[in-house]
Amino acid sequence: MEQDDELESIRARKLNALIEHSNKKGEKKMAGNVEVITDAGFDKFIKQDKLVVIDCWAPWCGPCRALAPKIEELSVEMADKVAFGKLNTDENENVALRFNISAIPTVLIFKNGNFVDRIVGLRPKEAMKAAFEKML
Amino acid sequence: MNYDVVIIGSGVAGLQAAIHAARKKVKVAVIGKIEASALSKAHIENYLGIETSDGSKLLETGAKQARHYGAELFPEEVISVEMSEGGFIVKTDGMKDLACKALIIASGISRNKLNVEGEKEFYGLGVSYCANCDCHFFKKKKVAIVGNGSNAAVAALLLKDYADKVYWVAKAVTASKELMEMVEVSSIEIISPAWPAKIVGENVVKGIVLKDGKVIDVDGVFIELGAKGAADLAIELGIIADESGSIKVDRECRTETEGVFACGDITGQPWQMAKAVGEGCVAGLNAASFARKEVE
Repeated sequence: MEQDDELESIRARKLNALIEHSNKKGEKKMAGNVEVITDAGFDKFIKQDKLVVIDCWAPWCGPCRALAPKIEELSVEMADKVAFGKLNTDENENVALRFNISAIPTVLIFKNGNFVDRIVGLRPKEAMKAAFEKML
Repeated sequence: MNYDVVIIGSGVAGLQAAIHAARKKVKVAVIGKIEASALSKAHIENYLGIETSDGSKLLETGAKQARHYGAELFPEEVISVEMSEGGFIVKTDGMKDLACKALIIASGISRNKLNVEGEKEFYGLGVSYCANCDCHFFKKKKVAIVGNGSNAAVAALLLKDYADKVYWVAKAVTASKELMEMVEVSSIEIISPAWPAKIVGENVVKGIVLKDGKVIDVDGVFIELGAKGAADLAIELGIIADESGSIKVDRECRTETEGVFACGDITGQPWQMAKAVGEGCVAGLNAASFARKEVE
């Protein structure tokens, strides 16, 4: 119990520092066609006719923040072929556990509701686009 | 400890920045181990005016010059940087807090791959290069930290608050005395001298096989080689490196965060001494001007 409290306090501290920092920098909120996904809405979201791409991230992860705008741009460029979602792994542990996610950013790719591939780590936008197009 | 300019990195870019900043009569600190610079093991033969020289000799002379002009050199590693009122606070593995008005990142590029079987296959499935990012996936699990220095010690100390068991695998532990005191009273188990031969598993990491054949059952492997990379430090200041790990700067060596400058290999190729020295000069002068509020 004591350890859980400590973890909560570490997490809250990290999150607050990041939020404060983002506010200071006037960081823009994510736009594009990226839907926020939770554990509860996950299964429904992946069952689409389009290819489904889910960006799994956490607020204190720097590479995740670097990836976010690239995903956002791709969500606009590939809107007719791919459905994009983003899932906070800290708030949605079930999906992270189900897909053995242990490093972020991890991008999960689904076709006809089935998991087909994952991309781990920060990659160039064009490399991500090529990977998604290969799956279409 | 208060400074006008703190320089992270004591390679040629950092030392040249120190010389130029210190000559502008601002208080300068340089943090880094000269022997950790990539140049210290290199032989120079393409730098104007020097026919041949050993990198280590050149760096030692540079450090002497920087001291001569008043810069203070700390042969330590940076474990974190943060923004503060009116500037930045840099924490070292010697447990020093250095406050400054301007910061120069000159700590080179990270070369952080272990290059063993299973590393690539299990990246994201148990293998991680970022303890801060990925610690929360290892609650109540068993993990191994691989690395010798303070960066590995910091990762092990963080992971012990999440994982049930933390092993620290090192060829030879070189972390600071202060961090080692914290490690020694913790539950972290040091396995040294030892080094991984391969990472094994089935779909996800199940363990590491050490070079002596011993197997350690773990769910996660955190690879923490060398000093904390410049890209990782930059992220703490809101500066996002690109895919190649480089930080974007303008012609004044300014990053996107006000008061933070960068020079040398971290700003991108060519990874050459001449380019690092030139950028060090620009960053040093501009950081000193910024600290003295000569620029808006």
